[in-house]
Amino acid sequence: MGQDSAKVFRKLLSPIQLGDVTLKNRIIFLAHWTNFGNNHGYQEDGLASERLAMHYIERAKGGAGLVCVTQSVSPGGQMGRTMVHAHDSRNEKVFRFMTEEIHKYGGKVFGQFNHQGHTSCMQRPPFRLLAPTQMPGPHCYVNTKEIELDEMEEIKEYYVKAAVQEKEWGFDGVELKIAHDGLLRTFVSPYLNRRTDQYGGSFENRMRYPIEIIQAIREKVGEGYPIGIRLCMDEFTDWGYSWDYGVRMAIALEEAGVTYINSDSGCFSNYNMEIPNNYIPMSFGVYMAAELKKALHIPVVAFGRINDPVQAEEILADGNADMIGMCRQLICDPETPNKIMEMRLDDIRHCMACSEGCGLVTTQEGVVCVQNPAAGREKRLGIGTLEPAEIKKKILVAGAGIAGMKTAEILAKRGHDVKVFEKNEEVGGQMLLAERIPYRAEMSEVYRYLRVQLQEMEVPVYTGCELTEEKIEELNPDIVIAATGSKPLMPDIESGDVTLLNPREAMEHVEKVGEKVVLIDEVGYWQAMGVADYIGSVGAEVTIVTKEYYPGKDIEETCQEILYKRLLKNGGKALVKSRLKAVTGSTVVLENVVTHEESRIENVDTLIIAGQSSSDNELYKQIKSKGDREAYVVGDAAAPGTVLRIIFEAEELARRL
Amino acid sequence: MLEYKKENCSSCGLCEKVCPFGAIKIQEGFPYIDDNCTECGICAEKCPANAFCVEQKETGKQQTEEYRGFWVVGLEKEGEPLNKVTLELLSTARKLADQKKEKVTLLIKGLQEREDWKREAQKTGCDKILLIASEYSGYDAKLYTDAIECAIRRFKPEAVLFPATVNGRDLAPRVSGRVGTGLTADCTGLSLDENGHLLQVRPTYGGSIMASILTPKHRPQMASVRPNVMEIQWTDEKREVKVEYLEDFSSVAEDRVKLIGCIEKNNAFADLAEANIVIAGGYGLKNKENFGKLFKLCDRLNAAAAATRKAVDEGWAPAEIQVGQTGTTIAPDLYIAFGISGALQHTLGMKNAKKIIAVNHDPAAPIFDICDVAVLGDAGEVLEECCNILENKKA
Amino acid sequence: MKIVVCVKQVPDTAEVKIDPVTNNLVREGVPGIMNTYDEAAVMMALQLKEQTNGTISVLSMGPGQAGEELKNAMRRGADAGYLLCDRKLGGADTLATGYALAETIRQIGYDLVLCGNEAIDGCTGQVGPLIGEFLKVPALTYITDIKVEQEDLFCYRDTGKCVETYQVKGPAVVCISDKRLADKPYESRENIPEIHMLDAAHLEEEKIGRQGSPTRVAAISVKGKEQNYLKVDYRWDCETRIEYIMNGGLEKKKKNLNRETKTSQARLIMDAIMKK
Repeated sequence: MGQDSAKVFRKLLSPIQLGDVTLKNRIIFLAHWTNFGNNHGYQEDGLASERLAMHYIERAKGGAGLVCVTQSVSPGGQMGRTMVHAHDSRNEKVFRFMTEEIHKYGGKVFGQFNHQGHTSCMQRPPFRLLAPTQMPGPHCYVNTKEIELDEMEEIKEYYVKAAVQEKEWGFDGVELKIAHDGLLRTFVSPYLNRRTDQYGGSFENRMRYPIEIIQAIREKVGEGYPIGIRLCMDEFTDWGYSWDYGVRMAIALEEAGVTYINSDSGCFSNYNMEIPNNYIPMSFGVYMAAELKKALHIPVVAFGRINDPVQAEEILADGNADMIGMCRQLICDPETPNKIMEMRLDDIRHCMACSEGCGLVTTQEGVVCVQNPAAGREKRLGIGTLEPAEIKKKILVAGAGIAGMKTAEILAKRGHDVKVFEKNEEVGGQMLLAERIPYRAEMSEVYRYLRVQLQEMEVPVYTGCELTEEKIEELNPDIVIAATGSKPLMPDIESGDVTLLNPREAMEHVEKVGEKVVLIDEVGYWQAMGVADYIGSVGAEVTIVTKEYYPGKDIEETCQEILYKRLLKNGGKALVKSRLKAVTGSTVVLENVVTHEESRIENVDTLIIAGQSSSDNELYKQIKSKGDREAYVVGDAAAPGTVLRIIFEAEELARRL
Repeated sequence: MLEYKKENCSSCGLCEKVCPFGAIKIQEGFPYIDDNCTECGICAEKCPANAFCVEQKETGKQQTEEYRGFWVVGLEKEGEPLNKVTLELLSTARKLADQKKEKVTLLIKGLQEREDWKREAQKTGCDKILLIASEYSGYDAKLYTDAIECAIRRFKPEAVLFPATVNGRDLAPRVSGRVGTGLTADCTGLSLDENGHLLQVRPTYGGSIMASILTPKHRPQMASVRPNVMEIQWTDEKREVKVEYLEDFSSVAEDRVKLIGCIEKNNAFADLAEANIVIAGGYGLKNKENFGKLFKLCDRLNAAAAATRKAVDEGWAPAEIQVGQTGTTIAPDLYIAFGISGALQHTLGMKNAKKIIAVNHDPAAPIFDICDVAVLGDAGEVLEECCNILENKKA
Repeated sequence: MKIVVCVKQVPDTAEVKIDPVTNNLVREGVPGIMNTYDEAAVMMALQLKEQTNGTISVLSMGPGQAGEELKNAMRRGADAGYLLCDRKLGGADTLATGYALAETIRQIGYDLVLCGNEAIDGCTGQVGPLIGEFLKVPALTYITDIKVEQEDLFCYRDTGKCVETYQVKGPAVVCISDKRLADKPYESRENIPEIHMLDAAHLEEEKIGRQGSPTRVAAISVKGKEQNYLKVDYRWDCETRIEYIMNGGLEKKKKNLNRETKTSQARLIMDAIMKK
């Protein structure tokens, strides 16, 4: 094994004391809404579910020193009906089970108390929202009620009740959220709190309510029980405060007896910074933790797309933080801490911040992960659930794109004899193009991880080698899996003098792309907006055309916004509610889908049609029709789709065989 | 010895605040000095009540005024031109000597006067080359120590500067021990204080503290300096460089130590953090073979090799030369990127390079946004051409 | 073979912080660790002990807590530990330290002295050669490996540019520069002998401590370590802050792509290199 992880990751794997509680290492699973709670209707909602408990237990199983559980602190405190209630005694059983299991793995668990305050966007229709001063989010248009003193008192009592109750139920500490959105952040925010009573109008007044809550809790839980704060250091809006204010707040909170400060930033009014995606660099938030370290004596948690142990150790070793907060990294690979301890660094599956899986938190699906099918499905797919195959079979996989590689990975881990064939020289399939879109280089992690797994499982991957019927006959496997991908479909149109390309060609042969480009978005996904960004960055002027209200409809929300901004900054524009009518010479004629008005774009040299792809599954059909062995199809070869669906599908398939 | 006189103490607590080593804690109004005390004497300097006293035993005082001249030791072999670091130190010595109207001497091993050494020495303001005449052709600590001791006793220089190279750091302490004087290693700054003493500044504690050191009573004052720290300053002054042989010197190399073998290392893997020129390869080089060419090129050009995480993951390059957020951070004078896309996780590791030339076949590669010269092409092919140019030069 | 290994207890430099208010070192609670290179020397010594059936004495000059490192070394297999501890030794620079250690080693008796090539706090690398000078024996620096063959030591010296092989007739001082030796696994034993406490009685007073140190610290200034993270100024407006973060703090420069032949491109690159 060579190096000892305790030496290489001296700080990351060292214990730390928070109040009376000792954490076994510096890795914290940051609190996040999961949408895993149960909703059985009015006053039967906010109930803790097994799914919720398993999600957190899994991260403790994976080795995190501390797990923080997002909860609503009072009946009106939920951000959405499935947000579990901390104050609700009906949750005792599940929570006791959860904390017990977490403790069994040597982890500790804190409850994070939220009150949604002015946040409406998680829940439709919105509740009656409370805020220090009547005004919308301003992330949405729903207005709020100016909170009255007795309501504040009531909520404070709920904070205390929840804290005391959870201490009974096995929670080791409590974290109060004064970050992202919610009641407490609105109180501390100078823009959102314009009160004229003792709870607004000055720094001290704005801090009064959170500090009163802290002191009330402290009184009941005693000196040693950790009370931490997840603190928004920078609102990242043009009306909001910057990190100097965050430091000032932290100092006041330290004085009020808080045990640690967990740095954070952003809010719903700039959702991009609330859940930073791949456009934001890894470990970007370290400066906020570093500034806190300069000002405080109590421990500080660093945050912000930290997904790598080497970086984490450097942050701690440089004295820029005392603990590392990871959220999506541990959703993506809950075993990260254990892998660090075992020095299996190449095995760590890094979160690439695509936000496409976890971004579904607001939907029925809840938090899932494009790379980790087990996220949100821990009971059935989590650590330790992979059963070895009853009968070891000989399996050939055609295609080393992500569908093929994922299927091969799980098959191999179950003990099957697997071989993978890829007709191109490189593995990765369409990800090889996806990663070239500006700022999307981290997409390569999907196939890097799978390739490393296949190497470790000693699965041969033959590149430059197409799996043909003859080869199948020759090798005579039990099962053939076709992961042969898809081809872009091009409509049969007259393209006049204009170069007609599909999105893949546009990226693979960018020299064919001219300077004035019209791109028709018929998929609402990265093939359109992403490719527009790519060619825009080499100087093409792009007009993107969509029949929707905005291009890139199915692209994850935070990326959508950034892509649109980049389109405009690159000198491009979007024509909405329009479709391609015809091309004459170098003029592209478009038609408004509502009014049928025509518009023309002159002097166009390139027309890219980002249309549907069609499954490339000849091989599958041949084997299936022959009928002499089992054949399955997975990935784009079955139905063109997203990484999220395909990885899950591949895992499911591989577990069945 | 640091002495504390409680009777003078006014309990002001200033000593606790000024101690740079955190060795003083006020307990019940009075300072308690723990084992971290290094007797630097700053508390004594700052104490308003004179409660601290640093004993100055005057033994071993030497006639410092007798010592004049600024020397530089060169460790070049016979037949080699003067090293860059020697020229840097000569320039430094000249700047110091000018302030005291003293002379600069280069002490170096050689059997005969060499015109090229004289020329370079003259251009940096050296007054004299003192030759250690020995037939032993390599580096031997005993030989050099004996020679330098002999020279010091004869000529009494006030300061001797050593290059802080591997052999320089091997030699300088032995000389300081032999002569019984002070030596400050790895100086980043050398100047003269108000008393004309050599003020030697160096980083310590992992670089977070800069210490200024003096050798007030012992002579010569000795310091070593790493290459590329000081700047070469050429002078036009028509100075005649005298060449002298060290008389009364006869010594033999250490017979208990014999150099019996030497295997050259590939320069490509020399200290990446200190290299001036770095040639880096990324995924765009496509295979291990191309990396082999890159390493050969580095070796020949005396450049350090670097790689991106992707290339390291492929097994084309060793992990030690990975540059980026999870690898090393470097700031060379010239960084040449072959087949590197320039994703932030790599560029954050080399963004402080003074000049960046990038070769990539993808016009949208983000590295083109931050480099100084953008070359559109196949990295492997351009690398091959570079190797060809080098071959032709040789031929 | 009688091996003496010199070890130094150093503050964990990763832990050493500067108090932002007083600008001084904060030593409170900063643990001491064995200098990594000395640790490598101890592991090298254990290897040689096995090969030659020898004994290892570890020696440290420092305050009482330095004894912890001697115990550490003895748990790994060193046979005896000597702590040279005396108030008179305080404030010693490298010359005074080298003298004190050398004289003590002479008293202990030795065939081979091992030590780390440098300490990770001071990083001077001077004490090893000084010990050699005071003992009047050769001192080999930058050694990464030692092999013993009958009477001779074969020392491998990594100069960065090449690896030299030296044949050495002892006694000698060898300074170890390969940190990785410190990571070698070892078995810990619990029964270790008591540390021999030595004072400065056997040393000449004018040559030790502050008195024996020709160099003095004239001033100390705190130089913040170059911090390796994105530094965002809180005074910038929101858009600037976010853009700075997205660009990784890098300035984007618009430039023309060189599309010439690969030969002329290569020439351009080689010219740039030759100029340096």
